[in-house]
Amino acid sequence: MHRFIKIGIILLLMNTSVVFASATANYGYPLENPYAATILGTPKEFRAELPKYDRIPSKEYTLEMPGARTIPDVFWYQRRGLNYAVTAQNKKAPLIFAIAGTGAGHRSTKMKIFQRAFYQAGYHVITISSPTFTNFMVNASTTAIPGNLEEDSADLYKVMQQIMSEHPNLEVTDYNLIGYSLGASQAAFVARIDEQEKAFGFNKVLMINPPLNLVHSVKLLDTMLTANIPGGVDNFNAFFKDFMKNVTAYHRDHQKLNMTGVEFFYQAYRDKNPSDERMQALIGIAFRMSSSDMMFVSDVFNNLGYLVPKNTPLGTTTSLTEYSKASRRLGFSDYVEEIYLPYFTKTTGTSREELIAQSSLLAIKDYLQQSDKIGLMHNENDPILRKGEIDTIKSLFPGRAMVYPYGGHCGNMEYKDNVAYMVNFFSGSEFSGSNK
Amino acid sequence: MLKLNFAKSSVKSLRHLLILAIAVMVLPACSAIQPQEAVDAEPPMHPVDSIVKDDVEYAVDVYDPWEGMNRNIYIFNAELDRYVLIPVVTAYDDYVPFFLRQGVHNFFSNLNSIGHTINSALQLNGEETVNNGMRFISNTTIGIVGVFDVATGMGFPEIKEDFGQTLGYWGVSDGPYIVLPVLGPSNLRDTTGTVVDMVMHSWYIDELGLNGDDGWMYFYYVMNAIDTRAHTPFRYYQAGSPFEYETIRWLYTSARQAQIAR
Repeated sequence: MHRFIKIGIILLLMNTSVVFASATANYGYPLENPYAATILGTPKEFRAELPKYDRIPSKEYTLEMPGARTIPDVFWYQRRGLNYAVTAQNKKAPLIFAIAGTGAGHRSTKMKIFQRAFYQAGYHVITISSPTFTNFMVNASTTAIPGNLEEDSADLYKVMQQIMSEHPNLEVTDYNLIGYSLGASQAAFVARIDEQEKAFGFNKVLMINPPLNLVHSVKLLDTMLTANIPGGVDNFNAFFKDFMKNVTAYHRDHQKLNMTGVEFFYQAYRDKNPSDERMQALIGIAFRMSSSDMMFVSDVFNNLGYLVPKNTPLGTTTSLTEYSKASRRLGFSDYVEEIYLPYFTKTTGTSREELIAQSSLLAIKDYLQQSDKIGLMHNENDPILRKGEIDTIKSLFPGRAMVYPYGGHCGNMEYKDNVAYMVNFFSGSEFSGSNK
Repeated sequence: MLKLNFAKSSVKSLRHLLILAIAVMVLPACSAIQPQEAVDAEPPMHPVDSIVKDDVEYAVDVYDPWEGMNRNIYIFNAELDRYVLIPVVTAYDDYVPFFLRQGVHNFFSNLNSIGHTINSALQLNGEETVNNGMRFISNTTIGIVGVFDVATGMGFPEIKEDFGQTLGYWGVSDGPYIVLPVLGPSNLRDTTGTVVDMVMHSWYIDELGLNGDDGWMYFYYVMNAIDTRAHTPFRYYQAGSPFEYETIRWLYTSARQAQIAR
């Protein structure tokens, strides 16, 4: 649904000042605007040639993690266990675990890119939801208070081992790891845990568009919503209606062209040049929807008394409309300040400042700088980074960072050069990191 | 199930359908269960009324007086999907070759373009009426009874118009939100529209001589249902949102308003 919303939301269409400029460097990804890239991804004719999703043997499974959990009635549909997928080769092959980004499930569009690309390249692919995704939270998270890179990655590590024990017939030559966005940060932490525990002995690990510091990035994303709806978030309905009106008008004028999905929105973007503010608002909306889902689930599952009074019985058919209105008004930053930090300062005795520092890649600086197996694929104009953070990130991967001039946040993942780089990173005997 | 009931013979099935539709509409209006406060409830850190304001319009607010019943039907649909529809559609995708599935899809979509043509005309939209009419004619003839879609390539893409949209065009408002068994999100206006569209459908398959004995009619409607589900990418509870019911209700309502405004 979030994908639909993202696409639905995508279209703004007003007169604006942003000029659509064509790529000047030798990098051919077409969207130089970071927000447009983040929203639209890669237009069809620029995508890598990959098998269609329904042409690869991806099989869905559910996993019950050991240990009893009481899942409240209101989340009855989560009781089936943790969802994940295995796309297996029919012979012995290297395996790649893929970890989704913030609020994303194992079936997100970006995870499907991994499945399609790496299945084609001869890998078994196992896709796992983000520990911030509600299905993971209630089924596999130690605390269901996600955000702690160390703890969430330890949970992922347990899940990976449990999955392998469910598939004894999968013949694996070696193990690899990939993740995008928050999933990229977690991939690094998982690899680090494995250095001690040695369940997998990862061969290679690729991090795609990780935040430098989770807390910083979350604040940027919250502001994209709160600062860019004209008149403030209380005007969301007017903003949305206006947006739909523009999409409808554009669609009416172009329905003879029979465009669908991203194609349609890409064309509309090129014709209408929406403002950066509008596009930021859309990114902020999509992020808010998934982060407030996460917050609500954490609140109810742990009986925190944050938005829902403690011990409120919520049944399978209880109306959640009022709670949904209220949760959408609270940001990820509110969750960090009011749920995450208080909980972990209390249970671990770690200070607030230390906890924030631990949510950064700098917390494992030495490990990253010394681990030749870990690579980075990032974008110079990723809008979830503060100014200058990209340079700090680059310094963590000496000779192993591939940073593209644009692509926004994960917008260029399906672009042909990027897919080629990803696949080559794992299959090539050597890889040459450089700044393009 | 609606469509299965519908399959016996056009007239008999129509009666079943109407009874079902009426039953859905006049079922005792059960309002939603509102969250009950726990006995020893201490106020939460952010009480809902401290955030939600009376003078603000919320996008997620849709008139839903039968929310309790709707939520039950929503769950019923999700379970039906899980245990019946998705397994059937998966087997269909796995065992029926692509060209055949595509042919079946084109065939039904071609028949539906009759309804699209009629509804375009009822909305006094000449251009769309011609488009949809030409689509039906070219696909039925050159496309061999609709098995091949030649019309899209000829510049006549599918432009869906249903009777719910026609009612909307003439100013009928949404009415209460309704989750229909099997068919999913709707509202009073669109449920009425769906019934009219089904009557029209049964009328033109009679006219076209596509009706037959019970066995054939079952086959016809079952294939239609499988094809429809196979072309609907939505999966229940996959987005992981605790507010899926609210979000679907909001998006359905907005999408229909957009389709009517189109």
